[in-house]
Amino acid sequence: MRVAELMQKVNLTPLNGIHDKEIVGGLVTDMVSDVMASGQAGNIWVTVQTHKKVIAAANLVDVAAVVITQGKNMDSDVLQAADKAEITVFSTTLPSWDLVGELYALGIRISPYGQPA
Amino acid sequence: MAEDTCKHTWKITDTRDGFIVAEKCFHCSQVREYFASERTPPKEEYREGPHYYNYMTSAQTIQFNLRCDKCGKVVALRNLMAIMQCEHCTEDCPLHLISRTAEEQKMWVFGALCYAAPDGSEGTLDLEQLLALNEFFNARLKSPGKKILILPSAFRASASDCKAIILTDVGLLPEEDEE
Repeated sequence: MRVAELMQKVNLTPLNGIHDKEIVGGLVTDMVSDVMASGQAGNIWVTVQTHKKVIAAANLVDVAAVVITQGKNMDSDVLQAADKAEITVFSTTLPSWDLVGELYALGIRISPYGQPA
Repeated sequence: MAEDTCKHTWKITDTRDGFIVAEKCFHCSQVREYFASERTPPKEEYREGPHYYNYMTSAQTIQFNLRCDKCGKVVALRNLMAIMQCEHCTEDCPLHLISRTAEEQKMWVFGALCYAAPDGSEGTLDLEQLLALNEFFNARLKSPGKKILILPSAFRASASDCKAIILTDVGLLPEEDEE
């Protein structure tokens, strides 16, 4: 499944441009250190964190997209950095728990790394 | 497989939770950072030689080593405190110039932030550590043409003035400082 298709299926609100990458598994964490250690390229990253470190970590690991839950937003400079790194950022009013349930129902599973080191 | 012929497949291992702590000498304004594995970041003032260090700030982070899944070789990274991304704050900073140039080629430059050397200068990783880190992060990439280049943070013009994004965890602990 690709990013644009996921946006339609889960009704996500894009906060920047759509960078339509293939999704390979998912990761749910509010810690950038988790992403560095357990994230994998192509992951969809679900978090409530909205600061610039999120985009830097997502870029380092090459995640496909970031979803900010609980209706939170990101500052414009953070979204510009996301566009530059070709990472789509979505927002949803759902809590992380509910969103992950929907992602799981669509067949998206924990990333192959996906386990604590 | 023999270590010297192995095309390594690195995985993060031996993770250690802790804090990156920044301190400043109130006499000479020298700033230094270190990794503390205590449950809470140490905030005591202390004297070391001519310096009187005072706590400035801290953030949660991890330390890790890299281990090859094929040959078992371990590259210890205990002198690595955190990874940072240039924010292009200073026009003549070498790290900024390298980053801007590399980004044109879809290469993203990150700095490896290490313990300071005994003389107060920025610490650095050796070649084996840098190669392993770069191999680890580049091996995971899927976006066509994308590359990651991790350089020693010593490339930056000034540790005190640098506004780089340091990849630490924020907003998770009650005793954490505002950034």
